[in-house]
Amino acid sequence: MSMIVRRVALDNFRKFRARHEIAGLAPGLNLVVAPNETGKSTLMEAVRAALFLRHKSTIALVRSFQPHGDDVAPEVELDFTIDGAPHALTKRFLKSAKVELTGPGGRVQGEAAEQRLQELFGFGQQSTKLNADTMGALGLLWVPQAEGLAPAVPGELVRSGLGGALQEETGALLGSAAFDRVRSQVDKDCTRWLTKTRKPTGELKQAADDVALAETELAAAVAAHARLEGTFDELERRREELRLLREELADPEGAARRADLASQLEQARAAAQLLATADQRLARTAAERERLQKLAERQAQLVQTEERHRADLARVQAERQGQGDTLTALRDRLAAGNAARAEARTMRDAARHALAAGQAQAAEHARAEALRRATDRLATLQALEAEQAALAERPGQTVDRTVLEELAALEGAMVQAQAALDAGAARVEYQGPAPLLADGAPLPHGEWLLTKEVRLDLGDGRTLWLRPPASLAGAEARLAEARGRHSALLAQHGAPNLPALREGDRIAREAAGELRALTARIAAATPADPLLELTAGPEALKRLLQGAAPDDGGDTAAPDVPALAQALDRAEQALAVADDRAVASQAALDEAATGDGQLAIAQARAQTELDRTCEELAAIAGDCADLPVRFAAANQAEAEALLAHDQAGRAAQVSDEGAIRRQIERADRERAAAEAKRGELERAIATLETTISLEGEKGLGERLATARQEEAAARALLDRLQLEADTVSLLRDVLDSAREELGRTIIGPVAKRAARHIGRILPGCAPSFDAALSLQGIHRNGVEEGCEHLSRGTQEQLAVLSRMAFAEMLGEQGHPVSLVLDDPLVWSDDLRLDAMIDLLEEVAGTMQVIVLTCRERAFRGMGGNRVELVAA
Amino acid sequence: MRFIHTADWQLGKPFASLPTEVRNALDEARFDAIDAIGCAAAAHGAAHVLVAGDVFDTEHPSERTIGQAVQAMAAHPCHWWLLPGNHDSARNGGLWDRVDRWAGRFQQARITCLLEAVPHELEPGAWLLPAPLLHRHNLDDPTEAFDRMETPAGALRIGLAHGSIRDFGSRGEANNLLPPDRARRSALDYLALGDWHGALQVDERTWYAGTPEPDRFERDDPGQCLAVTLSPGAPPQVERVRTGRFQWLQRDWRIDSAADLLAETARLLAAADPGNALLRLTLAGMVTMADRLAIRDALVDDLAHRLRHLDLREGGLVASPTPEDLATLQREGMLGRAAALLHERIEAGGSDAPLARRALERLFVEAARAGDKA
Repeated sequence: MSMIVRRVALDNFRKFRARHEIAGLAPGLNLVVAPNETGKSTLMEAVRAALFLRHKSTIALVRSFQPHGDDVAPEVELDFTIDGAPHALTKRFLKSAKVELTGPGGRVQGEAAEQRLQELFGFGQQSTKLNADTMGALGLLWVPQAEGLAPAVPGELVRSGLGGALQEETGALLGSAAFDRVRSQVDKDCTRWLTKTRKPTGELKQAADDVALAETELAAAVAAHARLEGTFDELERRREELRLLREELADPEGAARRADLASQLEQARAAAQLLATADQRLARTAAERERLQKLAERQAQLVQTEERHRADLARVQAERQGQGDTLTALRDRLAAGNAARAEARTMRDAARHALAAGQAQAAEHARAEALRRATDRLATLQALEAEQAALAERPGQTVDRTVLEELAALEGAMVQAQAALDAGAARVEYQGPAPLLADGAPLPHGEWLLTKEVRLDLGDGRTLWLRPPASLAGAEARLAEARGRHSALLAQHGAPNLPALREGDRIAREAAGELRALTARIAAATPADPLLELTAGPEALKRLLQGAAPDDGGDTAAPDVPALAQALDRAEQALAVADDRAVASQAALDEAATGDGQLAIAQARAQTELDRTCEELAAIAGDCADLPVRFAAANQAEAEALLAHDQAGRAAQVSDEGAIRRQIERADRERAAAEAKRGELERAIATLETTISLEGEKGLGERLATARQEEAAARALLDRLQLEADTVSLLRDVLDSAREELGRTIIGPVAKRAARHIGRILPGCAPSFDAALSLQGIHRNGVEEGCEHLSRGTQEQLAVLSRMAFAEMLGEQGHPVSLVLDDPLVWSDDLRLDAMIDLLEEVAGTMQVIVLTCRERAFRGMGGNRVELVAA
Repeated sequence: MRFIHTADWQLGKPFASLPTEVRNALDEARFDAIDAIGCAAAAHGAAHVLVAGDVFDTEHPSERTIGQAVQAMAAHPCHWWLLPGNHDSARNGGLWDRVDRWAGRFQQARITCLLEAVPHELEPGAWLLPAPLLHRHNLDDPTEAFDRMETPAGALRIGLAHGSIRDFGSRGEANNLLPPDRARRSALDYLALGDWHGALQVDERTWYAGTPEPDRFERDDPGQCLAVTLSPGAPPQVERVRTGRFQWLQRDWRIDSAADLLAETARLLAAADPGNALLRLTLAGMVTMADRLAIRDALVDDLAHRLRHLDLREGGLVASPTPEDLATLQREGMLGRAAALLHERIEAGGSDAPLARRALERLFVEAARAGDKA
C-alpha cells in the first residue's frame, strides 16, 4: 500500500513559534536540504506526534512541544494520501486540544479521528511514548537523526505485521513484548532457584540444605531416643534378672540340699579313715614278707659267690708258678747280648782312628805336588816377560785416523787453491831499474802473480795501485790457512810429511798387537791354585816361590784312604747288629715281668673277695635261723590284711568324699556368684536409673517427634520448591523452543530480502537476524561479525539497508509505508554513498522516500524532488 | 457422685510442620485445655478428673512440658487421676517418676499417677479401677484385671482404661484391644476410656471422652470432656463440655468454576470461627485458566489470611485452557506457540503431563501479569 506524505505544517511547535510548512512532497524520492538547527528533526517529531500521540495527552513529552516560555497550543497539519486517497490531519495539543481527519469517508474528529488513524496506519492505541512497539511500521521506517546508526529493531506491531505477511507461508505467529516480559519473568524465577547449569540455588538450595540439616537432626534424635529406649529395655531386663536372682537366693531348697551334703561328707570322711588304716596294715605285712624273701635270696647268692671266688684263687696261683721259670731264662739271654755289644763297639773305634790318620797323610802329599807344578810355571813366565821387554823397544807411534784424513784433505785443498790462483791471477812483470818499491819493499823482477792489492811507489810522489780481482782474495786466504794447518799438524806429530807419519803409525800398531798376545800368554801361565792359597797373576806366583826351596819328599807313596773307610763301615754294621739283639732280649724280659705282676694283683683280688663273702655269710647267719617258718607266717599275715583292705575300700567307694566336697564347693561358689551378681545388678540398675533420670529430662521423645515433623516439612518444602523450579525451568525451555521455532520460520524470508540489498553495498556479506528480527551482524567470508564491531559507516549503511528490506516487505503486504531518513549516511565514504543513493533511487520507485539532510553537496547528484522548509 | 472424664491430652505434640505462629498457638491451647477441664470440674461440682491415658504425646517429653502440665493441674482444687496410655506407658523409672517429682514441687497439687492395677477409693462408696498400660504395645487385655479387683458390696465401680474396642477394627490402634462388653463383664458402673480422639458412647456405661484439644485433621468437632454423674443402680448421666479452642476442619471440594469456590468458601466462613480454624482443603475439578487464576487469588490472597492455617491440596484441580484462553495467548504470538507446545505435552499424557500442566498454568499467570503491566 503506498503512502505519500504531501505536506507538513506546524505552528507553536518547539522552535517554530511562527507557522512553518514543507509542501510539495511527491511520490518517489524527496530531498529536503536545510542547514543544521533549522528544525528538520523537529519537523519529523511533529509528524510522529500527530500520528501517534493522543491529542488529549499532557505528558511531559507533549508539554515539551510548547516553545520555551510560551503557554500556547502546539499544532501540526499533515496532508497525505493512502493508495491515492487524500487525507488531511490536523492535531492540536494542550490548549483546546483537538484532532480532525478528513478523508474519502468524510471528516471525523476527536476519538473517532484517533481511531481512524489507528486503522489507517495499523498501530496500537496512541500511547504516551513514541516507541517502536506502538508506532508500527512507520516507527521503524522513519528514522530519527540520533538512531541512524542503530540497526533496525522491528517493534511488536511490525513483527506481527511481518508475521501476518508470512502467515500464509508459515502458519506461524510472531512473539511480542509480552513474550519478552514473560520470558524475563520466567528467567528471573529460574535464576531464583537454579543456576545457569541448573544447579539449585537460593531458596531451593536453602531448602535442600535444610532437608540435609533436618535429616541430620532426625538421625541424631533417633539415635538419642533409641539409646534411651535401649536404656529402658536394659533396665527392665536387669530388674527382671534381679528379681529372679533374689528368688533364687531366697529358695529354701538350696539350704536343705547344702545340709544334706554336709552330712554325707561326714560319713564319707569316716569310711576314708578306715580305709587309710587298712592301707597301712596291708603295707606293713607285705613289707615283712618281702624282707624275708629277700634275706633267703641273699643267703643263697652269697654261698654261690664264695665257691666262685675260691676256684678263681686256685687258678691264679697255678698260672703264677709257670711264669717264674720263663723269667730266669730271659735274664740269662740278656747278659750274653750285652757282652757281645761291648766287643763290637771296641772294634768300631779302632777302625775310625785308622781312617783319620790315612786322610791326613794323603793331604800332605797333594800339596807337595802342587808346589812342584808352580815352580814349573814360574820358568815359563820369566821367558815371556823377556819377550815383552824386547817389543817395547820398537820405533814408531800410532796416529789418530782423523789426523791422517785431515792432512790428506788439507793437501787436496791446497792444490785446489793454488790451481785457482794460477788460473785467475794477473801476471805482472816489471822490467827496469830498481828499485821500484811495492808496499814499501823493492819489487822483484820478472813475472809474478797479482793475488793481493799492491801499492807501487813510482817515485816523485807517484803511486800505482794494483788490485787483483775480488774472487782471488778468498783463494789466497784459503791457501794460506790450509798450509798453516798442514804444517802445524805435521809438527805436532813430529813427522816431516804425511807418508812418513803413516809409516810410523803402521809400525806402532803391529808392535801393540804382539804385546797383547804376550800378555794373554802370561795370564794363561799364572792361574790361581786353592790348594796353595795362590791367587791368579804373575806377581802372586813370584811372591809364593820367592825363597822357597824345592821339595824333594815327593817320593813317598800316598795311603789307601777308601780301603780304610770300608773297614770302618763294616765295624759300624757289626755294632748295630749286637745293639739290636741286646734290646730285643731286654724287651722280652720286661714283658714277662709285667705278666707276673698282673697275676699277683689277680691273686690278691681273689683272696679279698673270698674273705668279704665269708664275712657277710657269717654276719647274716644269725638272722637266717628258722627262715622258712617265718616266711610262711608273714604270707599268712599279708593275706589277712588284704582282705580287710578290700572291705574298707568298698565302704569308702560308696560315699565319695571328694565328689561330695566338690558338690558343696560348687554350691557355695554358685551362691557367692549369685550374690556377686545381685550386687552387680543392683549397681547396674542404679546406674541405668540415673541415666534414665538424666536423659529423660532432655525430652528426647519430643525432640524425636519434632525432628520427624521438621524433616517431613523440610522435605515437603523442598519438593514444592523443586516442583516450582521444574515448572519454570520447563516453561523457560518451552518459551525458548517457541521463539526458536518461530524465529526460524520468520527470520529466513526477512534475511533473504535484506541480503539482496546488503549484497549490493557490501558484496559477499549476508545479514543475520535474531529471533526478534533485530539485525545482529553480518556473515563475511564465513565469519560472523556483530554490528557493534563493524565500522560506523557500515553500521549506518546496514541500518538503512535493513529498513529498506522491511519497508519493501511491509509495502508488499499492504501496509502504508514511506521511508524517512533524517540526516542519513553521514559516515559513508563517497563510493558507498553513491551506491546507497543509487539504491535509494531504486527503492523510491516503489515507495515514497524522504531524505532530510544538511549536506547539500553530498546529495547534489541525487535525483528526485527537492523541497524546502519555509515560513508560511 | 460426679467426676470429669477426659483423655488424650497428647501434651508435647510438636506440630513442627506448621508455621511457627500456628505451632505456638496450638501448643499453648493444649495447656489451656487443662485449665478448661479444671474449670469444668468446678462448674459441675466434680472433685475428680479421670484422665484415661495419653496425657503426654511421648514417653520422653521435655521438662517444660511436664512442668507446665503439673502447674496447670495444681491451679485447680480437683483431684487429677492420671492413667498411663500407649503414648506414655508406665515403664519403670521413666516419665511418671518425673511427673511425681514435679507434683511434689506444688504443695496444693492433688495428682495421682496410676501406675499399678490396684483399686483406689475416690470417695466413700466409689472406687476407681485403673488399667494402666505398662508397655506401649500390650497384647493382653489390660482391663482383665478389673475382674480380680474386689470392692465393697454396693460401692460404685469406675473402670479407667486406654485402648481400642475390638469392634473398631482398623480405626483404632491394633494393639491394646479391649473387649466391647468389659463394663458388663467386670460389673462396672462406668468405664472411662481413652485413645479415640472424638467423644463416643460405646454402650450405656462405656464412653470415650475424646481429646480436649484436637491435634489433627480428623473430625470437625472442637475438643471436649465429659461430666459424668453416677448413682447406684442408675445409668450414668453424661454431659459433653467443650474445652477446645481450635477446630481442625477438613473439606474436599469439587469445583468447576471460581464461583463454586467462592460459594463454598462463603458457606465455610459463615459456619466456622475462622480465626481459630485450621483447614485442610482438598480441591478437585476442572476449571478454565481464568478461573484457575481467580481461584488461586481467592485462596492465597484471601482465605489463607482469614484462617488460622490453610493446608491446601490442589493437585486434583485441573486448569484446562479453553479455546478462548488459547486464542488470547495466540494473539501474543510466541506465547501462543509456547502454550500450544505445552498443551501438546499435556494431551500426550505421560509422566511429563502434570509438570506441563503446571507450566501452562504458570504461563497463563505470567502472561496475565505481563498484560497487566502493559
